This record gives sequence, C-alpha cells and structure tokens, in this order.
Amino acid sequence: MNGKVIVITSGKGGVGKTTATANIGTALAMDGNKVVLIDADIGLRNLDVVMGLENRIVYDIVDVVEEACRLEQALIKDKRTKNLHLLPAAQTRDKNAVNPAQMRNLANELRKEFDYVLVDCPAGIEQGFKNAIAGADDAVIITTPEVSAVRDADRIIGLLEVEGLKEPRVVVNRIRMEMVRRGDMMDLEDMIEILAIGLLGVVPEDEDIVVSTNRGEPVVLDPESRAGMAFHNIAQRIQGKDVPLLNLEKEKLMDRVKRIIGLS
Amino acid sequence: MIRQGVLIRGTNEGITVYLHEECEFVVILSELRDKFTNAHDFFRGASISINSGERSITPEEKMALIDLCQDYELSGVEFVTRPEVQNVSQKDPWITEGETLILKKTLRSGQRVTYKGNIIIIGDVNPGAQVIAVGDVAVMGNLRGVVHAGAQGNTDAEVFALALQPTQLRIAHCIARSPDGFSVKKKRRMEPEKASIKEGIIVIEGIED
Repeated sequence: MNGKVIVITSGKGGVGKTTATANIGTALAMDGNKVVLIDADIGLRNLDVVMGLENRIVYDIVDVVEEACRLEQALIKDKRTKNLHLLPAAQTRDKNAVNPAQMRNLANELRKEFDYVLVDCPAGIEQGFKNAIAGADDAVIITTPEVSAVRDADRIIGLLEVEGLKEPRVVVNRIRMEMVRRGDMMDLEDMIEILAIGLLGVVPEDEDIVVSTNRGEPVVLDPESRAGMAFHNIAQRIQGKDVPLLNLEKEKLMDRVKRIIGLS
Repeated sequence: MIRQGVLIRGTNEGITVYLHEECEFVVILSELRDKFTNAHDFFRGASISINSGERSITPEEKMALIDLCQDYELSGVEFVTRPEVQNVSQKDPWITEGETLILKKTLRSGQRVTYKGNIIIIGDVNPGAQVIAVGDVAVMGNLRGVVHAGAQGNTDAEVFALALQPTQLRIAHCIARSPDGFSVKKKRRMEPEKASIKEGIIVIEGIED
C-alpha cells in the first residue's frame, strides 16, 4: 500500500487544527480507509484528548523515533471507529526531540500500512512545524475568517511552497454566516482572493464542536451536526470525490460559493 | 580659524563628501579620518560620493581615500571630479531605464524581494510581504503589502498596481500608510493606480489613458 501523508497546519494557534485532524481522520476511517493520525505537537499534545484516547497512551512518537519501542506498539486503536489509529505526541519532551529526517522515515513507514496518514501540526513556524511537514505529500491549511488567521495562513503557504508542497488546500473553519451577511466577518471570497489556493471546505461555527471536544468524541460521529457534515464532505473531497459545499445559507451564497469553487 | 578641508552633506542621493580646493591633501585625509571615527558606525555599510570640486586629485590620492573608506567599512565610493552641473535629463520622462526584475508569482506574508533596479511583479503582493526596489515597482495584481520604490533616495521613482491597497507605501524618504480602520468592507471596483512624489508628499492617482 502507498498511502497519502497529509499535514494539517495553520500557522496561528486555536483555529481548529486538532479538531479538524480528529474529525477528518475519523470521517476518512468511517468511509472505510485505514487511517493513522500523528500528533506532531510534542510537549503540548491534544489530539489524544480530543479523540478521548488519553488514558490508553503507553508509548509515544518520541519513544518510536528513539527506538524505545516498535512503531506498532505506540499506535493506539480508536475506541469507536474501525481502521483508525493514533500515534500520540510525548508530553514530557519538546519539539527538538524529533527531527525532520526522523519524521520523514516515520511517515514512509506508516504509508506502507495505511491509506491516509494525517499529521496534526503545532502552531508556529519553528522546529515543530518543520518536523510536521517533513514527510508530507499534501497540506491542508486551516484558517478562520479573521484577518490574523488569514495572514498566518498566507505565511504558511509561502513556507510550504519552499518545502515543495505546492498545492495546499484551505479549510475555512468557524464561519458565521449571519456575521458575514452583516459585513462583520471576512467572507469566503475575500479569503480565497488573498490566499489564492483551492478551497477544500467550509465548516460553520457549531456549539457541538465544543461539547464533542470536551467529551473526546469527534463531531463527525453525530449525524445531526452541521460541522460534522462539513468534515464528512471534506473527507470526501480528500478522497477525490466532487462534493458540493454545504449549504450554509440560502441560494444566494451557494451561487457565490460555486463560483469560488469554479475559480479554484 | 582653521579652514575645513572636508564637508560632509547628506542629500537625497546619499552622502556626499566635498573636498576643499586649496587645502593640503594630508589635512583632508586626517580630517576625514577624524570624522569617520567620531561618527562611530554611522558610515558603516554606507555608500558615499566624493566631490573634489575644482581640485584635481592624483591616482595616489584617490587610492588613499578608497583605502580610508575601506578601513571604515563603507560599502562604496564614487568620485565626482568636476563641479556638479545642473543635471538636465535629456530623456523622456516616461521612459524608465535600468535593470528590471520580473517576478511571476504571488508574494506572500513573510516573503521579501529587494532589487537594485526596477521590479515588476506578475501576481499579488499580500499583506506582510515586502517589495524594495531602487527604481520603480509595478504590480500586475493586488498590492496589499509594504512597498518601497526609490529605496536609495530616487524621488522620481513610482509605484504602479492594478489594485493599489498597500499596508505602507514608501518612495525614497517619504512614507504613506493605508487609512486606519476595519478593513472588512465591501470592496469597490479597483482601478489601476500609481503613486509618486509630488511637492514632497506621496500622491496616488489613476493612470490616465
């Protein structure tokens, strides 16, 4: 098997990288793919918490690269979704515990076994970021409709270009249509115009996310959730299927959105 | 009163050192050395032009001046050996000459381009990106970042963009910035515009025909 390694990154913190990784990964596994999630945020691990797997961690990514354990020993099976695994970060170490060459090797090991390897990148552009993108074939950039998040996303796109990740796609997270309508929030068109990259999906602001994150259950497991639906669609698009954007509003927006998709 | 052998003046074109016509060369040299020493690091990396006015300087003297400048880590010396005449340009004002860098990509936040001539960018310049040119800058796209034309003091330099919305726009020593305020507003249709210095301030206007 020759799986795809996708890094999920943003530059800015708090825009939803970890939530997106957990949900996109779960959705991909629900579609029948073998998926592994790597938490590259060494020292500030969260992905295990969001997945509700914290209490199952015995070995972590640093143990693997230091050969304190075998790779299979560190992989945690998800408790709900078949075919989904987590390689947790170490909490007691820092970003320098791993280097890009080790990450590349790790990604290449995992791609033999899995269809999708999702890497949850830490915020920032330093060592942790360099590690996380080292083995990636593709990048997904998470941003929110805030000027600062879009600015950081733009910076990240530039850095990814240098590393040879030429065609990242963007997920706009936490959009609030009523605020966009009032003109208080950047709209999709503004963001895509600045970033000039393909749009992978739009996720509406959803209170369910807070609840599910705290409970350690990805929101994609809830068929009622709008955000969950959006993440399912993103997973579909990652698998190469052409799925229209979630109808966040009435006709008018859809037309606009179609135009944006057409552009990208 | 001791006559000054050297006079240092900053101009738009940079730093010019004027040499006295009758003063002994040794005096000039030692005075210049004193000035460089007293100025500490001010001259380091700077490029100066030495104007000898009516005075004729021998190749040996020239070498001595160059050596002195190298001792103080100046980056360049240029000699102006005749009295300056009013620089009347015979060229048409709408012709810009010199080397030009053409960049076919979008400049993103954190990226920076500097060039000793003119810069043409075919793409956007996003907020957080910087473009610095000794000559003119033209952006075939949306200019939202920081741009500096005429970076070595050329006040005739201009900035062109299909959509001119820079965070900050500098030409030579003049700085203009975008208006303050919340920027998530409905955009109007952007017209191509140019920025240039008129009567000491940066003026932005449409590009006629």
